[in-house]
Amino acid sequence: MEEKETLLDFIQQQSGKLVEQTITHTGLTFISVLIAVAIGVPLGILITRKKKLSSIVLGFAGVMQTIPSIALLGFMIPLLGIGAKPAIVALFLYALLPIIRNTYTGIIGVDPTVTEAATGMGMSNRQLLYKVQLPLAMPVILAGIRTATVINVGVATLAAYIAAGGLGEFIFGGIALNNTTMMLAGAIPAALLAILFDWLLSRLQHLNFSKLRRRLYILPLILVLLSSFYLLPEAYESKVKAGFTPEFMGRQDGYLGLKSVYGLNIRTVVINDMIMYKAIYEKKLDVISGSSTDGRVKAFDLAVLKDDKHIFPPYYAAPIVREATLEQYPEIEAVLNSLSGTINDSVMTELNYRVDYLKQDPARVAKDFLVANNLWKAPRGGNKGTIRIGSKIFGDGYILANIYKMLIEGNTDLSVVTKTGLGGTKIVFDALVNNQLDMYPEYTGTGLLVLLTPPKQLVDSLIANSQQVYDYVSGEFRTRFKIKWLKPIGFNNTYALMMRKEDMKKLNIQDISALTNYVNHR
Amino acid sequence: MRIFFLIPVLSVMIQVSHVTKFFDSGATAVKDVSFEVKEGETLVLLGTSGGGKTTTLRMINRLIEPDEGSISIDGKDIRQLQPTYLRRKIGYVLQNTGLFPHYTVLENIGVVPQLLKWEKTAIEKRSRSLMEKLRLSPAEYAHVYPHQLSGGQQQRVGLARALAADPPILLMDEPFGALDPLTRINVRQEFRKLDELHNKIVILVTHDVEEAFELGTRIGLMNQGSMQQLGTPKDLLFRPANAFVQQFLQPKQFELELKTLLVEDIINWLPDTTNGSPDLTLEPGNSCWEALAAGINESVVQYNGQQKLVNGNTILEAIARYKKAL
Ligand SMILES: Nc1ncnc2c1ncn2[C@@H]1O[C@H](COP(=O)(O)OP(=O)(O)OP(=O)(O)O)[C@@H](O)[C@H]1O
Ligand SMILES: [Mg+2]
Repeated sequence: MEEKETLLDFIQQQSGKLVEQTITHTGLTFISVLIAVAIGVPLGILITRKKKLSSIVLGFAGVMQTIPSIALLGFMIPLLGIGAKPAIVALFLYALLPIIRNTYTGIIGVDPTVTEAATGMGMSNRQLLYKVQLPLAMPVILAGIRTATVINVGVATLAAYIAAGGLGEFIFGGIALNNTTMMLAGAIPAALLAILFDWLLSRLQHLNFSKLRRRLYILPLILVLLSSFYLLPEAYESKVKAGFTPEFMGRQDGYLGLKSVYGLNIRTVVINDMIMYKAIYEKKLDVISGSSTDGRVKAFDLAVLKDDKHIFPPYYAAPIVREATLEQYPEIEAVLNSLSGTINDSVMTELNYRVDYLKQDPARVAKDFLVANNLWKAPRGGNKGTIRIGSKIFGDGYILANIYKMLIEGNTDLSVVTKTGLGGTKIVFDALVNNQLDMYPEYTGTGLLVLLTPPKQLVDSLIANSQQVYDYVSGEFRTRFKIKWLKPIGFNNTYALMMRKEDMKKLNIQDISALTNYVNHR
Repeated sequence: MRIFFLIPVLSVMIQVSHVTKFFDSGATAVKDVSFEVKEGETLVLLGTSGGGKTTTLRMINRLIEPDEGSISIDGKDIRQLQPTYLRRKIGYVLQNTGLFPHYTVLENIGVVPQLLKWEKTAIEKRSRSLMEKLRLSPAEYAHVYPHQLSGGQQQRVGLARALAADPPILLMDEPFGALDPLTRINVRQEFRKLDELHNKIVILVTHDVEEAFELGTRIGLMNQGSMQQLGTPKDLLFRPANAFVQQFLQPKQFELELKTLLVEDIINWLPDTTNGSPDLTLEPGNSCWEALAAGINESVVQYNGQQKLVNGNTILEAIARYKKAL
């Protein structure tokens, strides 16, 4: 019962947003279906007359349908950018096949003696089409429109990935935040919309068309009306537009904090992480949420806004090592700490850029870095023992694991095995606690918020000060898990707001307060 | 006199000359067929299934274009006419009715007048009057859909639709095909009496020999695409062009002779009588079949002041002599 109440609470709190998303969702669905009808029905009619074209046209529409939706949306970005346009085009392409195919089969399926009679009575091709073929094929055509609509209600949830809005914002936010209530608040209305539209169109389909021939013309009108829903949210669009991931949208140390602490009132769109960087680069967005050391910050010529009110918790990286390992091989502590202070945010961004964007081998990038900093030594090939280094699947971890391997093998008689790509935090940490790893690089913020999860008050009192966070986690880890936090490496891989470098310079915005000032006083 | 295609002529005439049609399947559906039909005439195309009757018919309203030969109406080649214009002037009754399932009976009948942009009220009036003539109660059937009608009723609607705009030409493809034999005879007789058909060219397709002889002013017998014989019923019966014609009529020969020959045809071979007052008087225009049916015993016919004895024997004798004298 508790679950149900919280869902209702959530819906009540977010009713404005829910209505907006539902309207956007309806608009996206119907505008794309409308275009698909406007193009698909004539195309379907055309191929009943030019049969040679039919296999080409149906084949093309069929191929469109088999492209996975997220991939199709992805293809649209370079062509049409982000937002409603690519979403509508992608949805339109999905709706095309059922509409063309049903128009075609509906018309082909009309009893040939009836069309022959119509021709024999002296009807022109046009009269044959409007008086006989279309009315008789209408139930089949409507079935196609119905299928297309239901498909599109589903696919339109993905529009949230490319900043087109819709109920997908709650669904994907809920998934990213592991927040079932939020997910259901998006998923249930989406399912209800699908059922509602299906039902409405089925009513239409079973009308007696012979009696309602004239009233049929209201159908396009209804479609246009529903489509126009989409235009509503566009009406109050502001100049500065922010694109945030679904996860960021729902977090206190994310968009909620931006609103409550900074008072930032910015027009936001929800967007997929992979598309976000490209979108800001192409000036479809002006501000995005990202991680400060992401290689794409460099690749797309962005810069991070300073978090002058400290709403983003510090995520300083440091190696964490089992105390048992340190007792057995005490020499590694100094070796690992030798990296401390050498990698700041921009160095880490540079390294990530080379791996993620230039696709260079992490081992090579690690070696180049050590050589440049005079830390490189050839491996000694010793066999005193083996150190097991783990890492998460993200870029930082790969590179750091490689750097530590080279440091240990160059400076001690130990050998190293790396176990990279161990998925999420939980998996790597469990492996360390259970003595399947000896060490891995971790972030202070993750240690605090994900692994220790202290009460909210305590978090609030610590979070603004990176040193306090570090002290707290290293103390707790020692007593609770017998794991030692070594010295921080230097960079802070935290949430960050970022903008195009040129804009920051032009508008003289360096921190989030300045951005708030700029946005709120326009 | 009527005006067809805006050219005033004495009478409408269709000329089909040396028409041939091949289909992709390789078969020759129609082979070098020629005939003429004049206003007021009913030409029946008779023949075996697949003989090319429907194909011939459909070439006249250009639903099919001939591969060779030409067709003209009032001397004008139909290829020079707009197909839609041509078709609206030609009533067409389809083999399988081809009624519009989404139109009511009234709307179905009004299709061609509507295409010709008649006034709404005029269309409705015309449609209702045709329904009455064809014995379909407008009160009961005007607003029902074709699937709610029996096969026979559907065929009447099909006929009404073809007649609606009073076209000078009527093409009918097995219009009574869906009727049981009894109803068929009745409908046929009604059809013959329809004033709507006067002064029209009617081309009617059937594979029912009796129907052909009853309705046709002339009959064209077709087999495998070729016209075997084209002539009056008497020509086919008594002067068959080839063995096929003879064989085709063979099973019904006797009945057809009785129905086709009139009493006046054989009057010279009937015996005279002075046998008092006749118990039944026949008209010379009655067929021998009617004469036989009427006089189970004996009857007397008055003809040009002569009195002739009519009974089974005298008729059979007279017919035999008639044939010998041909
Ligand atoms: N559209 C077509 N395509 C190919 N062959 C056809 C087509 N229409 C008719 N035929 C062929 O042409 C021949 C004549 O057909 P048609 O329909 O004229 O015969 P019919 O005399 O009307 O026969 P029925 O009494 O069975 O209606 C048949 O062999 C038929 O198979
Ligand atoms: Mg036929």
